[in-house]
Amino acid sequence: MEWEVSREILYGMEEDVASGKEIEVNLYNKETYEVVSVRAIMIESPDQSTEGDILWVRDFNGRVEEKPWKVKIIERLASPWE
Amino acid sequence: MAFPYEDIRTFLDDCEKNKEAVRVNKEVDWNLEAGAITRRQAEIGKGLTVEKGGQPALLFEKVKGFPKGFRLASNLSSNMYRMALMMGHPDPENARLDELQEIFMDGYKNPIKPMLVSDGACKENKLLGKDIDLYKLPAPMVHDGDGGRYIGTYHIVATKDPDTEWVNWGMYRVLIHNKNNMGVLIVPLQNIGLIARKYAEKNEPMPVSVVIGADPLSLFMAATPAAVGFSEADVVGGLRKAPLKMVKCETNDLLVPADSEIVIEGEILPNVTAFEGPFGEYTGYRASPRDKRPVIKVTAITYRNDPILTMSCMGLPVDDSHILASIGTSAIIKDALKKVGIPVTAVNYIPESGSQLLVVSTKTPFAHIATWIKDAVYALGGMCAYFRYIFVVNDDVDIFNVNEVFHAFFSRIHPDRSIHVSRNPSGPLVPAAPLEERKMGTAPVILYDGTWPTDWHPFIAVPPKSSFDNIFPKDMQEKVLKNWKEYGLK
Repeated sequence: MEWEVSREILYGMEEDVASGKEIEVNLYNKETYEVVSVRAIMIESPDQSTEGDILWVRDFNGRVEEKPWKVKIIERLASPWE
Repeated sequence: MAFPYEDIRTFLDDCEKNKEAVRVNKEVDWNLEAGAITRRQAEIGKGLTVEKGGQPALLFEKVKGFPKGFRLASNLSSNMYRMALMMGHPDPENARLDELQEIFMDGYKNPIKPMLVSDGACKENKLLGKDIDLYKLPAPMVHDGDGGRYIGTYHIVATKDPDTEWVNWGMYRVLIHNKNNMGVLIVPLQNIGLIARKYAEKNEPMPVSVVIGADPLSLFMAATPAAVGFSEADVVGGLRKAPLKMVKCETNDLLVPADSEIVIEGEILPNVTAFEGPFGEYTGYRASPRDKRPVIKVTAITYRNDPILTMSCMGLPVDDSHILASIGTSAIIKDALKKVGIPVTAVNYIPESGSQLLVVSTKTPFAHIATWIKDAVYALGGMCAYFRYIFVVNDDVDIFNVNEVFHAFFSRIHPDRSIHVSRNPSGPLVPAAPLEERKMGTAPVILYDGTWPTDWHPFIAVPPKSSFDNIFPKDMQEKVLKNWKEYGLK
């Protein structure tokens, strides 16, 4: 499974991301583009871990960053609008 | 010709008969492929009729991953011929924008209220409650990098003013967040923004119906800025010379065209937002940054058997969005300017500019008439305030001839006297604006005053045009025209 996240969603969580803490975030399922809320650990350098799914990061203009991250999904959460 | 078209299917059939539509039987992927085909087609078609080298409208009969019959249609109005068919012009091959403006204005000034019917083709299938699933519809991923799958790109978003009977239609982009939630771009200065503010002030949900694949005139009116308080459905009746059949939604009181392909009903909850965008837009760029925007919670989906999801892959001009928006916008502005006494002769919201440029030709009985025109246009609000550039010229320029507009710009604009920058409300789509201006809706407007100064002597200071019909005596023009074939010329 591959996912996408938009960079600005991670604003304010940079330290947690860098330190490997679990964060609550909305990801896009790369197959269906459905927005899925998850509790997850983001891994900025995929070489650091064999676990997790590929995570593509896009900026607010829609451009995808060259090197994907990885994401380890701990738990799926209820939709933010339910 | 089957005008007025009861639905999008009869329009597509008529286009096909006139070689202006093709059915694509090869399976296409909703994920970028349908968008890529549509975009390339618009760019090589250049807004021309098929006979003159343009490209036809498309009906994708097979969409990957969807049952037989679930279809996509695009480029419906990406040339003048199809636009003219939509509006019932008697000679679509030779239709001009100003002629379509006249047809539009006749309908606008003679609205006919819609007719309520008890049932319609849009009710053939219903998804309610737990059955609601937007992924049952072939919503495309239009461009790579869009904020999601945009289900609403050539459609109607209907909302009702809570204090009056006014129902506003607009073509505000809509994307899918998940199976029962969508996102929508609402710009404060648009009519939907005005209505949404009223609900927000009352802290009440705003009922919304998204109609996809309505009849062509309804889709056209969704892209046209009717005045505040003026319901687009009434104008559709005026254009058709007969009431539009409409049916009540399942879960709200809005009425929708009865033979539409797909209707998605919902409500915008107060204070609920989610990231929406970006999206490749009619400006020719993907300029509106992703931002938190309203969410539509879906309460029902109804659709026809074998539904057609109409879509637009907006981008570099000229495509369907540019032609669709030009006609009504120009006509409404011209009418409004005349109503306040401005001696305007023509208005053209130029498709080739990516819907960024409004050109107005006018007589100039006194100084600073261009400033008056700019102020009067922006007082109209809504979509009339969406373009960033207004170019005002004397009425000797044919503003429907882009070459003449181009020449007038580079020959009549003086850096000191002609360029006026002002701050008017805007939206997030302005490519030339820095990010902060796009986010805050503060991109400035430029008025280019291309009128000859009124204190210039008309025969001494105003330079004569070096054109066949101006710089040669009348008897010489007549002699040349009379002998044209004898010179061996066509």
